Amino acid sequence: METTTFMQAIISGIVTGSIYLLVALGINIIFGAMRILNFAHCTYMMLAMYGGYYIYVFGGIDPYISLLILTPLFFLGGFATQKYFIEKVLATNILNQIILTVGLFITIKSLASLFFSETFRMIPVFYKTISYSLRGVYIGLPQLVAVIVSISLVLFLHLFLTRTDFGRMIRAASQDMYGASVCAINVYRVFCMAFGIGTALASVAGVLIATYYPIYPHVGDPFLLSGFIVVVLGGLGSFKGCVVSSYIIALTESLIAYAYIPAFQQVGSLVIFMIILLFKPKGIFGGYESK
Amino acid sequence: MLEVRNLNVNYGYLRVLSDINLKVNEGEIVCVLGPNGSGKTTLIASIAGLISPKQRSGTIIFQNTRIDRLPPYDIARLGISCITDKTGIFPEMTVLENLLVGGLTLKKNERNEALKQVFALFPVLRERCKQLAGTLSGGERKMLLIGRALMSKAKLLLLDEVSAGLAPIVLGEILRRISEIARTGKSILLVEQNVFAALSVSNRGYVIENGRIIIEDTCERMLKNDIIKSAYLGIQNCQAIFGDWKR
Repeated sequence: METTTFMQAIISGIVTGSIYLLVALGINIIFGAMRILNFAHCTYMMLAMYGGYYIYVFGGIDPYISLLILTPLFFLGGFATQKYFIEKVLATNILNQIILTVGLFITIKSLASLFFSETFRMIPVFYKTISYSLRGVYIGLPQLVAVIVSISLVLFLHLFLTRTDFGRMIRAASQDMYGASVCAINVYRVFCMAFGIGTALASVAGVLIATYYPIYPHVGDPFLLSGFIVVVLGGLGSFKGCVVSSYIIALTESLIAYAYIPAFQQVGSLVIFMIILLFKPKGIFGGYESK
Repeated sequence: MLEVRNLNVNYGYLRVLSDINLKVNEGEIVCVLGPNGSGKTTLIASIAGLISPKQRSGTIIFQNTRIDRLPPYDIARLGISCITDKTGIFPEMTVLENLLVGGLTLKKNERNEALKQVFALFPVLRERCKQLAGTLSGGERKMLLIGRALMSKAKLLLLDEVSAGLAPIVLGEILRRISEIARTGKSILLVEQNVFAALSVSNRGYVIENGRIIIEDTCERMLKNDIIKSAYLGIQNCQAIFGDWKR
């Protein structure tokens, strides 16, 4: 592989990794707080893509600006999902929880197919074709924005979780629910907020890629699989692990694709995933995170 | 300060506590003794709201407020802090973060003040404040749990089996701190299997067996009680053994 091709693969991996990061962090926050694997996570991402699309088509509002409407809306949607669905099965066994979130996943996707049809859509934003190059390595403007917004959001989220009282409440409730309760924390409210934040992150990921990616009801499926791989590889519940493994998986996929064997793109990342788990069965940062 | 009236708790069809009546006055240390499975931890968990109201009946009053229908976080806000096996430390947060979570209901300056008081009581927590709580030793974890409970400026501490798994020297240290805490005006309900430890620091005590209170008395009289001596202490003269921990 030539240097330029290699660098292009790296850039492409960083772009994809940034989206994986937002998706995986959402899954991770929800899993970390409640030990719930939310299979419906990427349907929120898909709905946000449609949201961005229709706001642009009918309101003429740029997708990035529509984030100001969609993110709070999806936060509330996540909050409500937790309060009215997930909370009911929290105290039951894991199978009930999985069936509930898989049920939500299938229902939301089927409704999306019914209302939006299976047609591929693109948001015709003017900056879609703008790109920058440095020594023959290109990056599109929407992709560059996706990387910058994702990394900024992750830094902000990290500061929020570690420096604010509410962030500490989420972390405390996720580590010991009873311990948090006796510290005057309303853990059920905190779980709703955590679900809301996770869903809001999925919506941001959706709108960011909607500016350069086709929109269809099943668009979230590959991201869901990658999101779960990232979360497990990084170590369930680990913030740092999520960041590192997002880029490991995305860069592996990208390098394989650029080496002209795209059919093995996802297989390659799964092989890396399995090899790492052989040596670190709890994931890269499984167990206690070092601060 | 705390009054439990006719408390009954069921786990399914199994009656765990029957007709429990108990009082804790201001600034008092009250111990609850009993063998394994007698219902001591269930009693603490019921007062803290950790057991669903559907599983229990009876009245629990704290400072003239009925708390038996309140969730644990509201009970904590009223000034009851609880330490049981169920309510552990936050292992992936630092010692300082654990303490800060304990003081979430306080204003910033009050929280800093409470932090100073906790560090004065447990200097080892100041030394370990940047360390992850999950890496602390058993004794340090107990100190952290008590420290976290104190951060909320609770008026009543519910302590369940603080002696469990501790070396005698560490236990002695913790019991001395518990006595110091009570001297600041806080009340403590201490549930213990270690009868020496409990009686050495408490004012009054209750003995629970099979979910019922069978003895209620001052600690001094309990030490002379033949049933307690033979069933729990297995000796005739206890004073000589735990003289050092006496308040």
